[in-house]
Amino acid sequence: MKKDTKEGLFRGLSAIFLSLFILTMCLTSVANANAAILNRQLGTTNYITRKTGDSVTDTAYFKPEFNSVEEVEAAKRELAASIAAEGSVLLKNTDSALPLSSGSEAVTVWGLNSLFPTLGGMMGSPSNPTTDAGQSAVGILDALGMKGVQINGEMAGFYGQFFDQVRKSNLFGAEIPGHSLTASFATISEPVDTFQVGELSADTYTPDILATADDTTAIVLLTRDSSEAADFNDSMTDPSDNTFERPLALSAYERDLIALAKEHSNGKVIILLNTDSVMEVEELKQDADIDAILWTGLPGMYGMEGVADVLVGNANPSGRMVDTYAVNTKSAPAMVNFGLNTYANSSATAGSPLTADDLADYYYVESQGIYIGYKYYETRYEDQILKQGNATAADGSTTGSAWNYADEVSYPFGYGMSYTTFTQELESVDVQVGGTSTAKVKVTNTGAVAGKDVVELYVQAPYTAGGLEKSAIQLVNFGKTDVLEPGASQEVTIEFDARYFASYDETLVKADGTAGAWVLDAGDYYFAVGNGAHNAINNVLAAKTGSANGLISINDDESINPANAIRWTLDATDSETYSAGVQNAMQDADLNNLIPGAVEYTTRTDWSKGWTPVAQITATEEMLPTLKNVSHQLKANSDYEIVWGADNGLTLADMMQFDEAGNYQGAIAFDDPQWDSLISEITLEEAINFLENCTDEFDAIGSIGISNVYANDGPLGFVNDQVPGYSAKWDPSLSDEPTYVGPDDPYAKWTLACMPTEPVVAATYNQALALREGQLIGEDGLWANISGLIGPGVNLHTAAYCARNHEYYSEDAMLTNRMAVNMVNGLWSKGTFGVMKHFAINDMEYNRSGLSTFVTEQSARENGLRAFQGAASGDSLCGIMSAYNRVGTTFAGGHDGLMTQILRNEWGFDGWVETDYAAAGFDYMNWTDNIYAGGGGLLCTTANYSSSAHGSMSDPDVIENVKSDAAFQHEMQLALKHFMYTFASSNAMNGVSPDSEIVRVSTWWQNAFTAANVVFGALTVLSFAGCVMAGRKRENAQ
Amino acid sequence: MKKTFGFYLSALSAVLAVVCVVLYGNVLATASVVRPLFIISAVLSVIVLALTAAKGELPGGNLLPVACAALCMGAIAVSFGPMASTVVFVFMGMSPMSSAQGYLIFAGVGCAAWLLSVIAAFPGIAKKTV
Repeated sequence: MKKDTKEGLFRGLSAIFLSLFILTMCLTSVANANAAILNRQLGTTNYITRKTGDSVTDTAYFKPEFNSVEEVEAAKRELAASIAAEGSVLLKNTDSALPLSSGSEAVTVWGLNSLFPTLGGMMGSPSNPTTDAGQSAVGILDALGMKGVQINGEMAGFYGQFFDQVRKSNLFGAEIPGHSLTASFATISEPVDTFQVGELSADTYTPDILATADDTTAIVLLTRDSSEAADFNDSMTDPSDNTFERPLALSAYERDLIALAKEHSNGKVIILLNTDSVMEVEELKQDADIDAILWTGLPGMYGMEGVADVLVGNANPSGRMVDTYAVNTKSAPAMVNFGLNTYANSSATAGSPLTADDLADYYYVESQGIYIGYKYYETRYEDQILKQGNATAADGSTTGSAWNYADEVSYPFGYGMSYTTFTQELESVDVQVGGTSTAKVKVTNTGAVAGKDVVELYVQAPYTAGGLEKSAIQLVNFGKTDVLEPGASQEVTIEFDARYFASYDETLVKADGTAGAWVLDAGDYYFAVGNGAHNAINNVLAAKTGSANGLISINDDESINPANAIRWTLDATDSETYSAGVQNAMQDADLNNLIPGAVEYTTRTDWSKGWTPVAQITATEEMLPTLKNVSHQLKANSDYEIVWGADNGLTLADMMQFDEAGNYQGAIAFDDPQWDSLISEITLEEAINFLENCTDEFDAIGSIGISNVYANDGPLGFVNDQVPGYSAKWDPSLSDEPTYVGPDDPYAKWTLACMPTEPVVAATYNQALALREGQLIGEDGLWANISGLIGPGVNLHTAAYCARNHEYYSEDAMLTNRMAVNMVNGLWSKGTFGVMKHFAINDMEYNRSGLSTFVTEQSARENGLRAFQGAASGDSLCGIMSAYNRVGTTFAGGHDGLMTQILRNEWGFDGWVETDYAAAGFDYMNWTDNIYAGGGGLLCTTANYSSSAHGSMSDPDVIENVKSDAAFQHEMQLALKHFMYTFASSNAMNGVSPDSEIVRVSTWWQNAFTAANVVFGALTVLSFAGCVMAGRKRENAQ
Repeated sequence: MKKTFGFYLSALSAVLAVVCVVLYGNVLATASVVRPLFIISAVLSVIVLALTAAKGELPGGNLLPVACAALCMGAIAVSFGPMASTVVFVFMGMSPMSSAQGYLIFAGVGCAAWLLSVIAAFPGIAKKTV
């Protein structure tokens, strides 16, 4: 070979190997930055815990309830079926069409969607079994078959031929049947224009196949799916020739399907509403040929078994609606401004101060004020009946003529039927302002079948025209009976807290000079029970007026009883009991405070208001700084004495308490000064790394002896994309743990998330079931080595078009509040912390990243925030995830009023807070604003590296600024204290004792990267050397 | 001195490096070091190629494509970090292609610049004529 050719060869190889060396070095850096994600997918870990002594012999502080995963799975499956059975809501049952006659009544299940009913949501709450590990979900056909129902198999087989027409959506690269909506993280400038209902046209059905259904009972499954990062809108059309007026109204194909079912059946037609989104079903309710309607919600992987139990009569339905089923979903005032609204000076406008990087172009104005869901319909109803104001104005009426409750609501909030009948007698109400109040209700089964009944306790607070806005009726708490045999009675005691029916007065100036207080107005309060909010208010109206004449009943089974409303009088207005430390904290979320007169809110004083969408708004100079994501800036100060890296000889295990017998008693009190000593041991670098990289694997902090801690999605249990099976988080070094699950375990790869969605859990109105769900998911945490569940979802169903309502319990704050409390308590009983999300007013998914959400402080406090308040202000520890949206124009996590004043100062929340996932380019969720405001850690992977506005805290020039700002460092230490306090009280401490040490280890993939770096580095050097030597030889030869 | 095939490839690589500097403005999430790396690559190329054209083969001048290949690869690799999650989301179908389109075009042009430099490294940019 010629010498110059040799030189060229070595030079070329140098270029290749040097490039590869640089590439692997950079990839190593990216991989290490995303180590949590890679470890999750590869089942590896960077930390192991070693015991160095025997001061504590039994370190299984949170002990499992079961002996194997098999037992856990069996318990979960049984509970899921129970929840789905108790959560199924019977809305119509003419001539006792249900239950079916098990074994003797053949049924045809109609609808292509019956092949793949929607069981969970897309993204954070999927219900997808690991089929290749032997796990399977239960569909409606499977479930009915399991209960011995004779199913028309030919129809099922017929549908099987149309698999290519089954609605499917994409999740992590896989096509998931049973879904149409697709999650999108990206900013959208136009509403998504397609929604596939997923049914077949009538002409697809052949005469032969239709004939097979003759003489069978028809069960028609109607479904609407749900998804994170998606919403419904009116411009949606079905990509097939199917049509609908609105996506939640019946489509033409569904009407045709029902018509075929009526024609080809034994005359009995049953509708299953397989949806967590409110569907428009008035035509089904009024249709005399439809015998029964059963709402199933999205029942999770095994819940259809419970639905089938209800259908065949193994279980008596006792669920109640969690939302108002309006005749037209657009009739709610919260829908007026729902959708894509863009600032007039958005980044797309020439010369705009906003840029696309600000993620600040879109907004949602919640002009409904406090009137969400039934609080609107039932309040306007009272005003209609009492002829107060202009309730019957045509504004807001779906008929175009005078507003009339009967035209607007199909099924009220809280309504549900049973196979038996019950009477309820409100025996007494004892109100203790500042204490625990109680109501006693006697429930009697007056029918012929055993069953449970729900006791819903509502209150009407005194309202003065022109005064504070007040809902005419609001739920305060609820209970459920045991199974009552025919003729049997039970006294149900409902405890409630008067703070939850106080009204928030933004204008009241207290003695300390601050504005804002919780007020219980003097006057008559009516406490009422009823089968739903409408029945309760009818009872109140009958008690107030002395007559039931003129009251509107929209369900035939309604019984109005004035005795079921008890009056309680408060002699003097109380604005102090619940106002200690309270002050206005969200005035900047009211658009009228930023642009006077911009919003016309829904109000009882004039029901004609609030129906005109807010005219396009221009972000003002006052709004721009926060829209441009600058709420706080680091500045040198010495407000606090900050110590990092102290040597106090403490570890997190020292924060654990033990009784005299050596039994673990949780963490020491949050205000114990020992915490400050511990936190000061953390180095600034460790603090930055921890807070800036709160992925679903919290990084270990070696200086205080805490290993990595896992917390994963989501609302139905631990989702498969984050926790791919029970064994995923276990390292073989932990194989002596009592709940260790190795890769060879038959359940190693099983999907853990299998529970029904939040609305189904809420529809049970059974707080014990929510508690049990929390316990079993907490048990999963023990068997999967996970310490936190990113759930439950605690936002409200503010608008029907929010396609993420399936992750949230209800339109009502108190139903949500109580379910969340029980779920979190159940989790905590196993040392698993719940992470309630999304705090707060995350009410729309379109462009949720950076969306400005405007709401009055009264509405926020009495609705969306109240839903979180129970668990956040209670005794149970948990975390909170802040929302993607802005509160007003300020990122929720960076909003001082929300994160510090309300959450910490008023509620006394001691748990930790972190952001939602901060993807690349999400500068509005920057660490400066977030930490300064009390938003805690940042759930992110790479965003902190790409923040053009703030950089990374660990950048050399930035860290100097951090070091000079003592106030900021104080917030960092406070956030860390909240994290560590929660961890020390969780199952993360299982296996840890004061003798433990945390050892960092390298994973096989990190070793592989290191090897690649060494190999390519060596090859680079060798090829360079070859090049140089060949060059010298060539020169010598010349 | 005779200009080799690699001379022209290096010149083309320099042009693409400049294009990359411009295209990086369309990328959703950026790293500050990327543009400087491409700029150094382009400026270095212009200087070395100009001097080579004017004065003949420079000592070590044939290592220009090696340096440019390293700079280009460094820039591309560093640019991936901030965009990693976005690219993954696009390929998972959770984000539209538009969110990563700018990056993919940039990375494609960057890879072309790198490849040209690698190819140019074999012949070098100039050859002494005897």
